[in-house]
Amino acid sequence: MSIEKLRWMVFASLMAALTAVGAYIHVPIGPVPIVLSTLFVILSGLLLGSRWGLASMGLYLLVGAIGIPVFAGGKGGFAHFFGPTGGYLLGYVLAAWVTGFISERSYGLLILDIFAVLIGSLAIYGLGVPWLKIVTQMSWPKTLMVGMVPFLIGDAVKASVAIILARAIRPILKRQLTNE
Amino acid sequence: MARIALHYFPGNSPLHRWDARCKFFGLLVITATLLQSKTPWLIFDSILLMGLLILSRLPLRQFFRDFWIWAIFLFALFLFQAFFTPGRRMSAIPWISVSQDGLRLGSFTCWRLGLILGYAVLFTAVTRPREIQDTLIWLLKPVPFLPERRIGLMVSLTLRFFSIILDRAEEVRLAHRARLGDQNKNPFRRAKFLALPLLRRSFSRAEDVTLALAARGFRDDLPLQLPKMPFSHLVPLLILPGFAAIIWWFRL
Repeated sequence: MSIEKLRWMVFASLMAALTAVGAYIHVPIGPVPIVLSTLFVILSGLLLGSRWGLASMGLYLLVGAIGIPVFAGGKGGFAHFFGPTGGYLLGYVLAAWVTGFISERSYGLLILDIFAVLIGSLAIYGLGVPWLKIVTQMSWPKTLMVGMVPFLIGDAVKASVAIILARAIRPILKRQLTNE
Repeated sequence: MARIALHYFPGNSPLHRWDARCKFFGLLVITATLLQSKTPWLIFDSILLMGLLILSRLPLRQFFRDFWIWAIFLFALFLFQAFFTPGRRMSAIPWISVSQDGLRLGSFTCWRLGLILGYAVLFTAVTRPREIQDTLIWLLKPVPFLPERRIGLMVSLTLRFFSIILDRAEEVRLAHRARLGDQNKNPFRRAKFLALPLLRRSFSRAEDVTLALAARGFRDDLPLQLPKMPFSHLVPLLILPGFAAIIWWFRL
């Protein structure tokens, strides 16, 4: 196996571990808690690109599914995918892929990075909110009030931090990838 | 927390010798039972965890010492639920705005999370990373189009990085506080001075791991060689369905 592929595998594992650590910094405000994980979901897309970002989040879900406590608030187990937050967890995979897909084509332009982060953050809700509605049987307005509105300001802060971090870390990654 | 917790701790206890595949299925079943909101299950899981901890012969004092950050986290969660869950106020302590429902919900959540953490710590302490990797490869092998060996390696790396990041985060936080960085309330500046060193160190560590794997000639096309699972190792797994049958029978 080439060292480049090994490096991407290790980086994807690192981002999955960072997402797991982020899940411990959470505020339980209802059926869906505020977590720092989403910052690392977006960051994995920005740093690793679509393919490895997706792999990284898939790995995070697998580690959680086997019972290791890496989901929000130290939870773990396959059954969480069928709970109210299951859609958000699957949304992580889509968000990392979408963010990575746009970011790969941004050529370092800040405006495109912002667009990538915006679409990536919305992708989490794209799967999370309908799933929350199905599981909890709430009306659409109530689901949006419980599962989306309280997080928007926090998401804006997390997205901004993700862009700052990604732009600071990218040169280091680039140096590591070219110093073979 | 991360000094010992979620690391393998060498030993020769029955739990260390127990087949990793059985341990893995045991963990899956236990985490599924912990999602039940029935007290008999939580009592059973707590007694079982205590029994397994004694059986594991691990240095429990060290483990409990490392558990303090999780204890703070669980206590914060308990307080949050006790104060912010709507319900009838406690008549004994009317000057504190905690509800009976909040106290019950908070205790229940913390009890359950404490058990999930306890079982995960125990599982990683008595199972070699290599065994976890091999078990995952064994499980994923029947699934077509999945690179099971790569996934196995990545899962074991994620678990390793998880504890390394917690260690590094603590170091960076202490260094930041020593420079009076905690006085700054701006979230962007805090992110810059806390998260950036942590990410830099983590990626540097990841690079070292990559080079070490490459130097050892990691290959993903080697055949998996696992010993046959002895029948005696399956027996402990039968306890759980047995207990489930008792709970179902008595409708507890």
